[in-house]
Amino acid sequence: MSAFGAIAGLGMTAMGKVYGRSAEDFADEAVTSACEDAGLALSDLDGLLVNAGAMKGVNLRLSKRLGLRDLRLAADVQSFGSSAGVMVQTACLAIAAGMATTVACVFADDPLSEGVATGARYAGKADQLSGLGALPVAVGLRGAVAGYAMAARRHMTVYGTTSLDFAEVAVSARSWAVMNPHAQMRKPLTVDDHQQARMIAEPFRLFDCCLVSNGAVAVIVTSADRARDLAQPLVTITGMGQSHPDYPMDGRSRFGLTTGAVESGRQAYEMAGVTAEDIAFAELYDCFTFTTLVSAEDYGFCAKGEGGEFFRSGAASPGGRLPINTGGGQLSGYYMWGMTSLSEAVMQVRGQAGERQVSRHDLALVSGNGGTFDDHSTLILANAE
Amino acid sequence: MSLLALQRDAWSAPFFDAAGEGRLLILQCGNCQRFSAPQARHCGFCSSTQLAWVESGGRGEVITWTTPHRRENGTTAAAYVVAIVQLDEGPWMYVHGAPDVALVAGQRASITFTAVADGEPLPVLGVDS
Repeated sequence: MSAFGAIAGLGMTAMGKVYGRSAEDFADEAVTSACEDAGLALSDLDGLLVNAGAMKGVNLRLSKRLGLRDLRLAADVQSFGSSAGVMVQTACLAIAAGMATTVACVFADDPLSEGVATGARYAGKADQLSGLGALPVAVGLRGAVAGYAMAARRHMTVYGTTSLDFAEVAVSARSWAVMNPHAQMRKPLTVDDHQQARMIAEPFRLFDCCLVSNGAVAVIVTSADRARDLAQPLVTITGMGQSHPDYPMDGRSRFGLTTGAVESGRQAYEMAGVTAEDIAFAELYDCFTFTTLVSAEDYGFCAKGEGGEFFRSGAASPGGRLPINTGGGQLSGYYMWGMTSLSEAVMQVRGQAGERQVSRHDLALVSGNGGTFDDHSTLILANAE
Repeated sequence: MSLLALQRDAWSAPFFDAAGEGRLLILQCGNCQRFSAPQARHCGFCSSTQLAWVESGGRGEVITWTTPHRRENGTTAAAYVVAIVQLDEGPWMYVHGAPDVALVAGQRASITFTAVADGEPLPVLGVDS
């Protein structure tokens, strides 16, 4: 196993209902604190990758605000929920090619406004719908919940997955979040609570859906050689993968049945020279409970169609054989797109996760997922080269 | 309103002209003869741009669906159904359904069109009893 790079710094702002600050304010703080965390100065950066969230409130102007000069790599990255992994992979490739040595990757968003319904902020100004590409929206496919609900429904009809299976995912995530000081939802949750919560879009109830958060998370990517001499315990990147399946709009489509995690995971496992059995813990992108469940199947942590049973067994929960979403994920922790999974993985691999620290933390799998299962990224992290 | 007004563009004009007459058009590839969904700009099988509008039988089976809810008197109620129907010719279509339609996977279904104020006719789901 050889490392393609390392994550030397992690910066996180306050996240959740944090008002009065813009996405750029959050991004500035996250990058600055990620550099401090690594034992680097802002002037050590020679690369900046920026991923704006739903409000599109941050872009490469951030480099001017941070006073970054003579960057050799700079880009706005938009692969939606897979962006965190895509940014880290792009940074690793640039570092390996000698284009850059020290790259900050940042996600920031500010969807929450005091006194304004989040749905209204997300919907924004209604655009005029035009052409057949907008037909699904016109007939009712509006917002992320409906699309993922249709995917989940197909999995249910083919594999017998149930809402009670989704409840197990939500309960497992919450059981980790109660131990995470960064998490927004720290009150214990039961299967009953899940089943009695209001319906959003069948089959999804409230606790099947992720949170919404203001805030930012940044990481500093550098070579493993350089990271060894910096301030934090070593976190190397030993496997990388992406998959953008683009489901055909006909009977061949595996929409709702398998995801980009299959191919992205295969690439990352092969690159790292490991298998699903070797993974100590996993941080899976969880915009919805179903996303966690189907990702666990597609990464080979359990057989296809047995995701519900896997979570019901407690395997993914505290004390289980394969801890998953050990900070509560986006369901109960904080909604920073793929940076949610990545930030928690970095803390765990370093051994800095406090009360929720997993016992074996030498090899982690981190996933990102965007669109409606359109874009997927995988990172495998290790605590050695 | 659960259906939103949709405007035609140059590509969709033949589709909506036919929809106004109650006919569902899909695309057939002049190269490999296979069918693609109406929004395709390349054949979904061979990537050819030699696509021609042909009439679908308008029948197929339900692949999946969701029922979004709206808040109502402290609880929620089904607002409508949105479903994917696989036409007998192969392509998938998103269709609108009534909130009380009961669905199972594989259910036989038909697609018709309903008029929408200030917009083009939109496809709605009918299920065989």
